[in-house]
Amino acid sequence: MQNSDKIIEKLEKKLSTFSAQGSSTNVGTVEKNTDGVIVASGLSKAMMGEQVVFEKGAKGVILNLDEDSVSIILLDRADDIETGETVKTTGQLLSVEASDELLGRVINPLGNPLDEKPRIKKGRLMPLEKIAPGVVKREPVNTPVKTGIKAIDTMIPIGRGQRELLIGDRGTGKTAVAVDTIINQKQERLQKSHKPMYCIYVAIGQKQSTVAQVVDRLKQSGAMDYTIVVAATASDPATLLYLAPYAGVSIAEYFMEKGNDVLVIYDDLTKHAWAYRQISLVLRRPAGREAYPGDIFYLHSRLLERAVKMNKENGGGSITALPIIETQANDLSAYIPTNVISITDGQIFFQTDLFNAGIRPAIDAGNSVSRVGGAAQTAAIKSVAGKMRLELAQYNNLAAFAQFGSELDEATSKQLERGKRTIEILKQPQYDPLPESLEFASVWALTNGFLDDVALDNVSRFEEQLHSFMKRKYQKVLDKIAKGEKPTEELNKELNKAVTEFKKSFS
Amino acid sequence: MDRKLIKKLASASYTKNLLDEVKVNKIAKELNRKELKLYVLALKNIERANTVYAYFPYFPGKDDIKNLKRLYPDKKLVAKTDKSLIAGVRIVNNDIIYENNIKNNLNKIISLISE
Repeated sequence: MQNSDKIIEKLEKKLSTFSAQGSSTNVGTVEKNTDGVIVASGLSKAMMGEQVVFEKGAKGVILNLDEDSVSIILLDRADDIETGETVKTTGQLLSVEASDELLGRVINPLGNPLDEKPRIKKGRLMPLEKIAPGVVKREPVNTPVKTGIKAIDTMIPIGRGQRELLIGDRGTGKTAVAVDTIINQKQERLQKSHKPMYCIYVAIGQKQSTVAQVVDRLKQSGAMDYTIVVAATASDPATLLYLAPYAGVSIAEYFMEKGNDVLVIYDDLTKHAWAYRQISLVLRRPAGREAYPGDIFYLHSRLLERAVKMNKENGGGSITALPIIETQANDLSAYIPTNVISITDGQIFFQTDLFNAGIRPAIDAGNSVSRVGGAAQTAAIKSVAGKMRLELAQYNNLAAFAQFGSELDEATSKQLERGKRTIEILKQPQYDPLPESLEFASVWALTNGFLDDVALDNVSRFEEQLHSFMKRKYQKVLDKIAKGEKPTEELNKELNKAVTEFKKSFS
Repeated sequence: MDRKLIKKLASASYTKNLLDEVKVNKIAKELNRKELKLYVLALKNIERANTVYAYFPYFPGKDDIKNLKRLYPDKKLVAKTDKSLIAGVRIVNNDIIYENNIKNNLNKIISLISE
């Protein structure tokens, strides 16, 4: 129990901020309540995006300013709002309380906990809507985000501050790649090769069970220590779904402003667009293509523009965005996918056919691209990735012709066999991200022909055993690779020796 | 008839800041049900914008009214009594409420402590 002095001291501290000066409030009257959209008269001093409070305590946010009235969308389910009820402005734009205590927590977009732990009160208020930092404050992407997934780190590298879209049909492994990337940051934290990354997973319109699974997986992998989950599930009002990604990026900005690197995953922006369409339609805004409002592009561009790599004078922090878009029947040319493709700095395309053929992660290398990530790739990976990508492209070309069954010359057959092994080596089980040194070892062995005489079925076993062999006997070589520098001739010789030695023992 | 025109009609229904019954009846005859509804709403809005309500914890004296008239020379003043204010005044000017009374201060203290 607290002693009386402390209680009085606390009260005095609170009262010291009290001002007895008169105050003015801007009030309005509820005119209409249709589909969760409240039309209120009065409120002549209201601002766009300002938070308002109703007589019975329900909260809302202003989304339309008309000549005589304002349209308010409710932030919680409140069916008891009646016409004639008063509503008053708060003078505050919608914001979320952010602090270091949020790490490991599951919250909703308003900052209310969903994990049955107490509410965080001490945080800093971060506005949900904010103009992205300008050109002068930024610097080009130059540090990698290591996903631990061979196919991505080698062929479609992601840099800190980049916006890389994960796009594909449902059930093709988009969320799995995103979760793997979060899990891999644990290894990165231990290696201390770069600044540690904080992760924010924003679940938009997903089933509560799916969010629970992700949280459970992150907990099991020990990734929740540096992760925050912002969840607006399918049962939440469309307003919360609309606000969720903005809440996520606002929290990310809190960490970024302290000079940290943050990774934000928006899972997924298709449902976000649906929620915004629903809100816009009930607000009677003019509908455009596929009934989306005219500012649907701006909705996502203003969100993703907040992904940034700040220069040293401005703290040097960064926000990397991994938005997810769900396509229908692998159609990349639909409205929302094309919008987000054009906003982001590249996309990773997940194919259903590849997934069903057992190629997982089901990344379609031909349609995937990283426009700025190359600058962030380490010299070590760059030295082997280019060759592998070229060989894979050649294989894809040749494989189409090889289907006709005509006789092939030796060089073509070799290329085909190499291609098959490349695809095999890029396969990776879920929730098993690899450190860069082991990724390098696998690709190095492949591009230097050590796998050419290994049967296709044995490739994964070869890789697995090679990794444990290297860790057991050649840890020093792995440590050298982990530095990320371009492999010297000496290092190549050591690798050659190691893989040759391993191959002798491999059966 | 659109909303803007009805608003114009509503403001034209006043003579020297007072609602003119003759004008109102003349206009009302020409409007259909829906338009009449909008017209009444517009009149209500003008009335609300032209009136200032002042609440005192006691029966307001001549000085109080004089002071208020000086503050709002172009508006209609309605003075009311609300004992719950304890001391001070509450002024309602259209959609803005000015609170300068003990009741409001006590409420502010309560919310500050319960935060």
